[in-house]
Amino acid sequence: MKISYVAPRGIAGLQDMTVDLMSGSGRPHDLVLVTGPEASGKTRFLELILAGLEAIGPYEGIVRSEDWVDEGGTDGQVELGIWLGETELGARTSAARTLVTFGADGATSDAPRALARLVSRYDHDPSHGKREYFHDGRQPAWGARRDGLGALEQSLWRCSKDPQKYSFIGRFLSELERDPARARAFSEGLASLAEGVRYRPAPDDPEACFSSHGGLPVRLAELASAEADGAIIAATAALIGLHHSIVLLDRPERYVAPERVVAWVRALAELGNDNQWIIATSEPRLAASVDPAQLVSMGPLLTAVPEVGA
Amino acid sequence: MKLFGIQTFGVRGVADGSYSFANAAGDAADLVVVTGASGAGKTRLLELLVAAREALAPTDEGIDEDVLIRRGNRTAKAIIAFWLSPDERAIAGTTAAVIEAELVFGADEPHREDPALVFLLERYAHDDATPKFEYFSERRRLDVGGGEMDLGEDRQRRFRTSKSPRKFAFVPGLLAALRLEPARAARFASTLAALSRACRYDLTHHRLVSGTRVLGALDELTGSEADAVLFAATAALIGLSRSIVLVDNPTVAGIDPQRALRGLASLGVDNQLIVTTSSAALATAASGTAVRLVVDSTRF
Repeated sequence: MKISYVAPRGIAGLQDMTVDLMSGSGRPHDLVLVTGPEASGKTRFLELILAGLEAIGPYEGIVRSEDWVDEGGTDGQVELGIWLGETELGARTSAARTLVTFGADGATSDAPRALARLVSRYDHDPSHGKREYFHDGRQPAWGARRDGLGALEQSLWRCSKDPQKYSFIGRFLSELERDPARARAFSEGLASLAEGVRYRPAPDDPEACFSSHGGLPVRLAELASAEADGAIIAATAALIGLHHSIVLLDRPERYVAPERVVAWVRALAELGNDNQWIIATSEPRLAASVDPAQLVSMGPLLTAVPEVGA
Repeated sequence: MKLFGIQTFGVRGVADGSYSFANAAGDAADLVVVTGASGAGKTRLLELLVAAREALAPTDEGIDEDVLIRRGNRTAKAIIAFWLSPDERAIAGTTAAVIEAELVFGADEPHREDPALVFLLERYAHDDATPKFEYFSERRRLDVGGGEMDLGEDRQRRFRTSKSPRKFAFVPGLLAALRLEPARAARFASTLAALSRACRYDLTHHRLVSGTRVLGALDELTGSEADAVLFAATAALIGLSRSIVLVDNPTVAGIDPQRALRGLASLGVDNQLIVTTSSAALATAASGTAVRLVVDSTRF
């Protein structure tokens, strides 16, 4: 499942625009960058896609319709193109366009029932596409809360920005040794996203399983923030079976050094099979690293300050 | 009050050695930029400074000695040096410009400290005359729910070095109070304007605006705007001047590096700013008088 088209009309915080994400190959781009300076609407664009998908086929069922209506308007609309792979919706490949309306009666869509069912389907089967949001405030959860790993419970977290979103990781790590396929996926994802960090579970404390630069294994809370960011993403992908999915990520440069962001996003794009990554960024080097057809510009980027030294 | 330097022995994540915050002229620098790769120990160094401050004058935050002491060691030691302004020397009744304290973590032996230093660190008032020690952790976030927070000094002093998600729960209460406090409101407005690209505080109608859009609630702020608001609100509430201000990753929420440095410099008068970053752009944007410390403690 991929997004092929986004056209907001009368949406608060966003200009009316038409964004076509189809590539020359007849499939949508697998990497799309939403670029612009601070407070230009990048996050808003990502969250509009999430709200639109939620209106079509809910995971959590809550769309605050009034948040999306432009001041003075009565309703806001977004036309979303949803491209389906060969295994989705029977054997047909199609890019269905669906109109979502945010109005006084809540959020409604004109999606056919089969599409709505597909968009709301959530389980941890790696062959089933889903949607995931790595929001800008992502960080390891506070405290000792440990959420369940099941699909019913986890579906509520997928589009959430709640500080407890990643509270599943403690239990996930505790149970990981009993699940070799997930352990392998996590270990590989971690190695590619957290430079110098390896999955090395200690026999007495399965949560102390991160070895940074060959050091003694430590817990998630002891990792540096860029390392923890990679661990969070790798754990989520391994838990939910993140393949064939629409993945939204806000600001890869949040923790990763700007000089490393291009390589890091390349590693993200290789995480899982057939995912579509829609990434918001203000990092000019990242924007310069892709085909301009993969950019959705919300405003001019600052030019990078020249660096001194090597 | 400014930090002059710290020597460390056996601190987890920090290579043993001497970290100087003095500039070429031998004075405590107004801006210290700590750089290094991910996992090099930038945050660890800030947390050590916070732990040292807590050991000298506790604020309820507490010290987690288990993560401070290097694995395999029983204790960790730090010798921290503070530089005092002439006013601070007079208040504390000392003639020394630099005062050291020796702190041992994980042992029963008492810390060796100068009572004048403890006296200065224990003072706390919401005015610009009283030096403070402020820590903006990388986990900082604007807490917009969960009830309002008492703005009083007794309550707020406990949060100065805290990483608690409740640290910035005072912001809604402060915004409500600004209507009645023109000086604080002007301070908040000017600092916010220095830190944020588009977000402003409208002093006429007492509301936040972003570009031309009026913001009805704090949860309408973008990530970088929320970060700018929490910095500006803290400075306006506590009177952040003549203080040591630690900021872990000023660009974490998307404030651009140059504006972050300018904006943080405008928080108050005569602060010492100690920031960590892995962004070369931020390190480059710092002026020539800034002290740059490169840490590489991955093996410790």
